Amino acid sequence: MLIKELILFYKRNLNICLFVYIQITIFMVLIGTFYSFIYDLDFENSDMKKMYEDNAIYQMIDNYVDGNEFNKFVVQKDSLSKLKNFYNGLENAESFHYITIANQHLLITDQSIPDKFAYGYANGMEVPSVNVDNKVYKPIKSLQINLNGAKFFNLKAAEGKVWNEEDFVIQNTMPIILGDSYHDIYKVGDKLHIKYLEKDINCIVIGFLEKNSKIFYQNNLEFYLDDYILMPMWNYIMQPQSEFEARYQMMNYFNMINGYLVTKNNKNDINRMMQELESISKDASFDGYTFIGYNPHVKKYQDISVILQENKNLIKIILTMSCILNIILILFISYLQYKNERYYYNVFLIQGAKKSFIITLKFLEIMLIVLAAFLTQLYILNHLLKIGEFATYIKAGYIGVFVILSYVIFGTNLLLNNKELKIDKEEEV
Amino acid sequence: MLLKLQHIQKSFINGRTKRAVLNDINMEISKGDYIAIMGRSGSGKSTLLNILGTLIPYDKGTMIYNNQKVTQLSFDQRSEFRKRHIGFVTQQFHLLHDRNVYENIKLPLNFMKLEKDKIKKEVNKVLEMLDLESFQKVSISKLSGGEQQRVAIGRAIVKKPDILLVDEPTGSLDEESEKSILDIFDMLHSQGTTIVIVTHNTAVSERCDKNYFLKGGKLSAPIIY
Ligand SMILES: Nc1ncnc2c1ncn2[C@@H]1O[C@H](COP(=O)(O)OP(=O)(O)OP(=O)(O)O)[C@@H](O)[C@H]1O
Ligand SMILES: [Mg+2]
Repeated sequence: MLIKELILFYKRNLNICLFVYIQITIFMVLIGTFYSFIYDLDFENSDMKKMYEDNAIYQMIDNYVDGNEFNKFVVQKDSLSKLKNFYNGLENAESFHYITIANQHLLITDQSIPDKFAYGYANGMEVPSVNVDNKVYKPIKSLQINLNGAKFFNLKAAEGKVWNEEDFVIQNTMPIILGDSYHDIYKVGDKLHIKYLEKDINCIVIGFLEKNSKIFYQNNLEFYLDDYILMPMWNYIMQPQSEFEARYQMMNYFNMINGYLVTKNNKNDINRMMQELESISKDASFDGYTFIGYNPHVKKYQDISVILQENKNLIKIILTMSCILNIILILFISYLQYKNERYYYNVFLIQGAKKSFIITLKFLEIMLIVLAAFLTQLYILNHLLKIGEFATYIKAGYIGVFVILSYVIFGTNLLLNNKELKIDKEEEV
Repeated sequence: MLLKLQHIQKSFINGRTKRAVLNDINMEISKGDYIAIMGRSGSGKSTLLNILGTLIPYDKGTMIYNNQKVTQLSFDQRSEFRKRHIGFVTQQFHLLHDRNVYENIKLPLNFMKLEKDKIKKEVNKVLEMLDLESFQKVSISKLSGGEQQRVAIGRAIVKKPDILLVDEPTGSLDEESEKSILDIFDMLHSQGTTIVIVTHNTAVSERCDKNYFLKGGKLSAPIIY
């Protein structure tokens, strides 16, 4: 009987039920979207903002992009030691942190590694295999980072561990860290044999990064590391023993003197940084670098951050307004609905229905609508907008419970609290 | 004695004024009675009938059913009482317009937890008795006033109540429909149903065994035919 009455209820209130269903769905999606947006903002605030807002970040590049200049420099006898001195000066500077990141790819013989890890894959190029000494290699995306960089970006391991200071000292086996996507392919402790800048290196996997780990690199504030192999940027202290080794070290150090200088964002510290950089350059007798100055992308980030921050309040206002509006609308609709439906409930009561029957009916009426709305918002957030998070669903659940409670309490109170069943007056038939 | 009212008082509060509608009502209804309560419009006939049917509570007095006091009952107790003992035909019929004649007549049985077959049997019996068989699949809004009245009566008697309360059964009917409706009451009475009819139509009261008059909130002594 309950189910039959429920079906008849939906039949005679089809339009209003559809309206309420859409209304609640929109309400839930709205809350869900805004919530995840604000959640994101807070996330940005905690991690990214701390990283970029208080710091001034300056970029430095070498002057030897031109082939001729490069060749002229390399043939100088002390070119390598100049680079080394310059780099060591940067790394040990007191007034700034020197961060260097290179994206020199590495070669692996294992052809079974999926193409998405291959160097150049993201650019849509066909992945070329490389032939060295009759062996076929696959070029793989890789980043080299120095200790300062690893510390600055606060890289965290989801499994295994991240580097500590000793890992940046040259040793037989190079400790590497893999991005999250490598989980299916390697495990912690696996040994890899790679070719890097033509040199054979034995590596061991010491950890996996957290999913969606990101750094600031190549003008990208959110450079994701999931598909990358991370190598420590080793500082080769000893002199090269062969021509090959010398060239290898040279290449490395050219990578290493391209990087970022980070200091506190105030005049004093920036001045000290400039002075120290100059003296490092003088001491190393190396001046083949260009200081690009305040990085425009970081500036952009800071601007965006301010805008987001301001809009966050606006968003919160909009959110609150729409919440209030929705609540009023839902209450108003349940009132209209109650007026329409009172006739039916009164007839049920005349025929001997109990309070509990009416309350159960009211509860089921709204429950099913809310449930449908909840499932719809789940689908929209999860599959269409792809921003669904557990916390968002909980919020939507709160809304659902709120709507059900207010509908039932409001409706049945109006209906049952008047002791008089005004059956002969003010009834529209 | 089936039902007895003693010193029943009822007043309505409209804004700040309180108006007594029923003042010291005394009345007795025995099994098989065929009663008419007469009175002018606004005299409180419907109010009295609603109290008898436990649709509204009264302020003072005692109501005794089957020698048991049924003084102020709770909401659900009143519902239960109505379900078991009272058949009510209201002035406006109160039929449900989202279902057909059959479903409307069946409604009270839905609340009584009867077996499906039994429900079907009882509803069909009533449809036959009231000559509504050909209408059973028709929706309420397509019926004439007299037909709606018959459906309302059918719904009231389908559960075989101890008392049938009828409010103004001939208000908007032509003579012929009126006669056919009144014939139904006569027939129900002859079958032993206790009937209380509220009316200002003498054609109705003439058929009843006992006539009460309601005036100034008081009920006259019954005129028994
Ligand atoms: N729920 C209520 N609230 C306030 N006043 C009411 C209520 N119900 C009835 N009344 C008043 O009580 C008086 C009696 O009403 P009642 O409906 O019992 O009259 P009636 O004799 O049935 O009239 P009619 O023949 O027109 O149906 C009227 O004045 C009416 O306005
Ligand atoms: Mg009346």
